[in-house]
Amino acid sequence: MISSRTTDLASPRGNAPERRRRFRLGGRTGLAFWVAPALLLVGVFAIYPVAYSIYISFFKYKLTDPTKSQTFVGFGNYLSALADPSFVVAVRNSLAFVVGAVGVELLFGLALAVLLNRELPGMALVRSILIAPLTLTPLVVALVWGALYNADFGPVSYYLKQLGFQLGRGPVGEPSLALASLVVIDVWQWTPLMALLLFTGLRSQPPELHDAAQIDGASHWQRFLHVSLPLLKPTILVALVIRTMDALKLFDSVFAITGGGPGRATEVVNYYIFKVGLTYFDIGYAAAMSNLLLIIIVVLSALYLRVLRTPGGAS
Amino acid sequence: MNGIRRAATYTALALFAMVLSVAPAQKSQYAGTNLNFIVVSDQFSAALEALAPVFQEQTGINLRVTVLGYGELYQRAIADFIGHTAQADLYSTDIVWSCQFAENGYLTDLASLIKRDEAELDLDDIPTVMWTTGSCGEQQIAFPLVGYAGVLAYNKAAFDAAGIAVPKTMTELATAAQALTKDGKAGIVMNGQRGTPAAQDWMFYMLMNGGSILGPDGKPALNSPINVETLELYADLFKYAPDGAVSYAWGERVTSFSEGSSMMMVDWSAGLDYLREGAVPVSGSAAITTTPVREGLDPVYPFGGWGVGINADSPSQGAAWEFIKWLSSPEVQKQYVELGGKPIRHSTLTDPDLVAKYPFLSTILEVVEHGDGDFRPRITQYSQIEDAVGLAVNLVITGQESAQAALDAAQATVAPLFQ
Repeated sequence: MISSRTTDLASPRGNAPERRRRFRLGGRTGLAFWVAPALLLVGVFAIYPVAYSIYISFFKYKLTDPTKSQTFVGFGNYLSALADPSFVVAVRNSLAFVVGAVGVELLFGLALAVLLNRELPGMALVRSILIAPLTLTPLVVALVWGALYNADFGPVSYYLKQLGFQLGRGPVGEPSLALASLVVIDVWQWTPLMALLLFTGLRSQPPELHDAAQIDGASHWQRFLHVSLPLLKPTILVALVIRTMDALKLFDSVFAITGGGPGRATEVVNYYIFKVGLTYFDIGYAAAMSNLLLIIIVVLSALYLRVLRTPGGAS
Repeated sequence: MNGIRRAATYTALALFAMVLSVAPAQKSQYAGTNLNFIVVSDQFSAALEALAPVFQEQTGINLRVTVLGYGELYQRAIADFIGHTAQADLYSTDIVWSCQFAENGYLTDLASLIKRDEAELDLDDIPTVMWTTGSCGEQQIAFPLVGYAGVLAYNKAAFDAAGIAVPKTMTELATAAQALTKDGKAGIVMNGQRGTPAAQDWMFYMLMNGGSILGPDGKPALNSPINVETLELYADLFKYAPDGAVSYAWGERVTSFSEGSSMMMVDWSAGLDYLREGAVPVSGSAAITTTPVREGLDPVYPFGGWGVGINADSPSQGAAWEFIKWLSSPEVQKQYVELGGKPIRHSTLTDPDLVAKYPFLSTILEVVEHGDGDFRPRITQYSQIEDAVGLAVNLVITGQESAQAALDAAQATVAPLFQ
């Protein structure tokens, strides 16, 4: 069909109104015309930066080097990153953060979604309130939580101390508590997103299956475990991928509250890349680490797909 | 900050009216030129914003002041210099950027202009240490814009009540910190947050204790015995600091002192809001003095600040230099201080009217006369050194490593940068 239209368009015999009509209908030229802006945008803002990042990662290239030299080092920057204790610690911290934050968000989000799915009074209001944390800028959230956590005049520290918790130097001052404290901030802000995504997944499930299971005598729990949850897998997959990618890119709360400390307790990959790239201006090395982060994200996403893929490829 | 800006604006309007009434309407040869000045968000930036219309009225040169945060300014400046986009004609430059900017030729070398206009600039009136805000070897890539003194801020009422003298030595500092730690109050407060806050704060104490970042050969000597000793002493002082001080940066540190929760801190003379009557709870009790020094050492005090440099790619070099000369003139300097800036001239620091109004100027003068602008080395590798020191200090004060081990690791990190 497409090729025949293209032939018609190319034909000098077709009259002008006919050509215009067929162009609009989506001949090959027409399709290319409509797709071109999107392709251009993707090319300029996604493909070119990634390609350039890969290219530059093979060079020793420091923007503030007076000699302005770019020396080809092959995979040298990648090998340096893998041997760099700060990068290794940052990857470890990032993965721990992802497991903690996304894991808790999934559990809380699922519980909230199930609750929202019940036709209880006031649920519409609850859903609206849930959106509030999502509307806030992460840096603002970090600054507010930084003040709340302050060991000397922050209310969180104060009340936890009143309850008998020994916080020492405060939630973000103790190496053992600092990363968990940042997880709490992330959970507070992003659990609603997880809940809303899963809620839409629950809503889209066909009620007939639940009715049939109920007729067969399945309890609430059994229906949730054997009907709702398997049907929810595709939504869970999407939610996990979105949140994992986001959590791996944690930056704001580290930048605003801890600076990567105490010690290296909260140094995460994105913050380390920022420091190397935009403080030391060691662009080649920062690009290599960014590409390694990209690989980690791709591997994790593939892992999710593998684990959550429904037999038969439904997911 | 809004209050300061508002006060600065009103004062500027008053000064503006005064200047108009006495200054002859003599326009510059560069009248009509547009200048963009990118300034760091600091106390003095409000003063510059307020002075911009005065400069414009007097010279006919249009001056736009753009205020950015520290990190944003640095990144924007580097991007502008590397891309040769000339987004700004003038930049405020941190003292520690001097040699990095000089070696890369980002800013115009002002040395020849300064020599040409020597008489007009009255160079003898500018203390030697002020030039470190923009010098690198023979080059002068920035003109002094604001000089900051490292000072000891203390709660006079607490010292009087405890019957102890203001510390002059490091031993006295530790003793005072211990004595004043009582009744839920901390004797001293420091920056403990990893990175620049901890590194910069520790470097104050390093200088006070006779240490240095670089050895006599110009190579890093982070793990020298005196630096290790200073870090141990610094960590000990945290016993008398608020619980959360290990996570503090400048804002929290000043708040703790200003609220009366902590009795001492070593601070830049940048804000000094706590000395303003009625500004904060501790106003009236707060005072500043020179920083303590190790017993037996000649007094050397921390000095920092900002310069103003002309973008080498700027098409308006002449107008930009005219602005620098105008701003640094004794008459404008006085207005600048009134608006919240800090002086660069000896005559301004000793001006009887200003000293009567701001008695702390005499302390700043003393620091300036014995100031060391190189205690934070003004070299290209500074940001990496600062980061390594910031990590080492934080590891020690949070009890994760010994001072020796932490500084050995920091030394190992930065040493390759000098090979």
